Amino acid sequence: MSNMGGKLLLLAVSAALAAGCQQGEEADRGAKQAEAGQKGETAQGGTIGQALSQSTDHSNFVGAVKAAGLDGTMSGSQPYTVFAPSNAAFQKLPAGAAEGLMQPAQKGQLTAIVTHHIVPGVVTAQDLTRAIEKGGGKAQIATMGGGTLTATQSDGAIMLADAKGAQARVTPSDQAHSNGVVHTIDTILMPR
Amino acid sequence: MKKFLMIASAAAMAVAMPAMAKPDKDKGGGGGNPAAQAHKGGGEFKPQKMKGEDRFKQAEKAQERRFKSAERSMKDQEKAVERASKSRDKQAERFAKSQEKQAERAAKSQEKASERFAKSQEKMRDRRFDDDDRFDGDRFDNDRFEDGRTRFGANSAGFCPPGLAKKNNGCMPPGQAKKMDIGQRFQSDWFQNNRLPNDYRDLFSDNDEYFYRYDNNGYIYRVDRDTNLVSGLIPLLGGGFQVGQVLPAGYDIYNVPLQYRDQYFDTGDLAYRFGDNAIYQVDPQTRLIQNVVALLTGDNFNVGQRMPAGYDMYNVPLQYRDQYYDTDESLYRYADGNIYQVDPTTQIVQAVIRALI
Repeated sequence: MSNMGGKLLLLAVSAALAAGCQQGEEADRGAKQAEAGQKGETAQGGTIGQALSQSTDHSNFVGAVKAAGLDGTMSGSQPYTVFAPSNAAFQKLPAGAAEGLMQPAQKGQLTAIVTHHIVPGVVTAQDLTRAIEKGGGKAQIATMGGGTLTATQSDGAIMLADAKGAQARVTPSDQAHSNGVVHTIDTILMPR
Repeated sequence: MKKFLMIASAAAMAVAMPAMAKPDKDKGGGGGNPAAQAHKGGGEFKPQKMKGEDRFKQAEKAQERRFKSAERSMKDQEKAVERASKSRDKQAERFAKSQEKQAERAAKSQEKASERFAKSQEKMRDRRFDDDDRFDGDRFDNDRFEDGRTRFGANSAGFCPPGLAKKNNGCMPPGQAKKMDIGQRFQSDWFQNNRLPNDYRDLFSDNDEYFYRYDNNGYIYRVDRDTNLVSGLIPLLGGGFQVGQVLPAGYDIYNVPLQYRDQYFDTGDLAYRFGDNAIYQVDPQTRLIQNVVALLTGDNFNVGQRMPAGYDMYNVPLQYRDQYYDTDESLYRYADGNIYQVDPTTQIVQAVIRALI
């Protein structure tokens, strides 16, 4: 057994030498990338992307994320907090609006809307509440779309408002995914 | 639905492609992202640890570097268009010559002519790829940089993947073509009521030489006032940078921000490019954008400057919270791969406390 192990080791060393310095560097970086991806897939219940895909209440939002080409972002290793509109939130849009946004010609608008629901880092329900209290009743969150959302509290619930004043009720979920958390909201928030 | 127009993404175009903005000397620096700062800054800024003049100079230099980078990107775009145009002219010329020869030969001998025609077609296919000086052997050769990364060979329009329309400045899916290309006459009737997205208005503000317009679908146009010709295009996420679309011209060179390079680096099968605050995964052979693998805020967390607006909430990733938690002396905030330490009273960024990537 040890003899076989020795041969394997020898083969491995030979292969590594043959690969050369540059390849070795690339392989090392490839390993890092693979490791990062693996962490993203296995740690704490999978990624944000996986959690959303498995949710029966976010299928419309998942469709929008995919149409905007952001599913890779949701499954990557960078940390984000997603305020994911429920399917009921999509129902609140004017008739035909949701379908219109999914058209290729509207991808610019769709992307801006989706990125308006993603914020950098991990923001838990407690973080939201503390910031609102500290801010005298409201707090601002920068979105990945370049806009800002305003958080407040009403009857014990956390509310998010967009620049036009639309209000969404947050149903927090602090379940930790490998790359952040997902909270559900009941209204789609629009960028400026 | 047009009311929903927004636009988002942004702030960072300022970083990757302040592409066409002309710096307003009167306004000077202001630091990193002028759009973001103008929009998000504000509040009572009390300089603490850095002299105002030094900070101004630092910001001015940074601004100057970004504009130079943007200028280079623009020139790349224009060159690509010029090369594409020349390439098409040459092809047309060769095709015409080939047709003439074919006719002559046909007159001499029908049998020999058809044989020669077949050969000339073969030669033409080979020659097509000689027109672009960046082609070297294979159609999209991945030149390897000294550090091991690769870059694209350029796709000089004219060779679009199946299903994509051939445009002067790239290949577009049907319905996604921009309204005008560089060098074309600006058509104002297409741009009524289409204002630039808020985050770009300070960066691309009209001046004596140029004015800027947005097409509501992912492109900002820079128009020369003297000629009324489009002199620059600024692609935005979801418009110029769109999954399934060919990467805009001017992105041949690997440009992913340094802190992300260990994670997103070019290989023979995959390439990554940065633009409009996002990192794109691109097929190096077809140049088609395959996915958006990371979004960046583009917000300016500069040591010695005030923290950008919108970071009222503690947002440090869970695994780092035991080490970096808010106290009366320091706040900690995460953005674009870094954790920053911030003074709670002045809101001044004190340090980049940790790079997570």
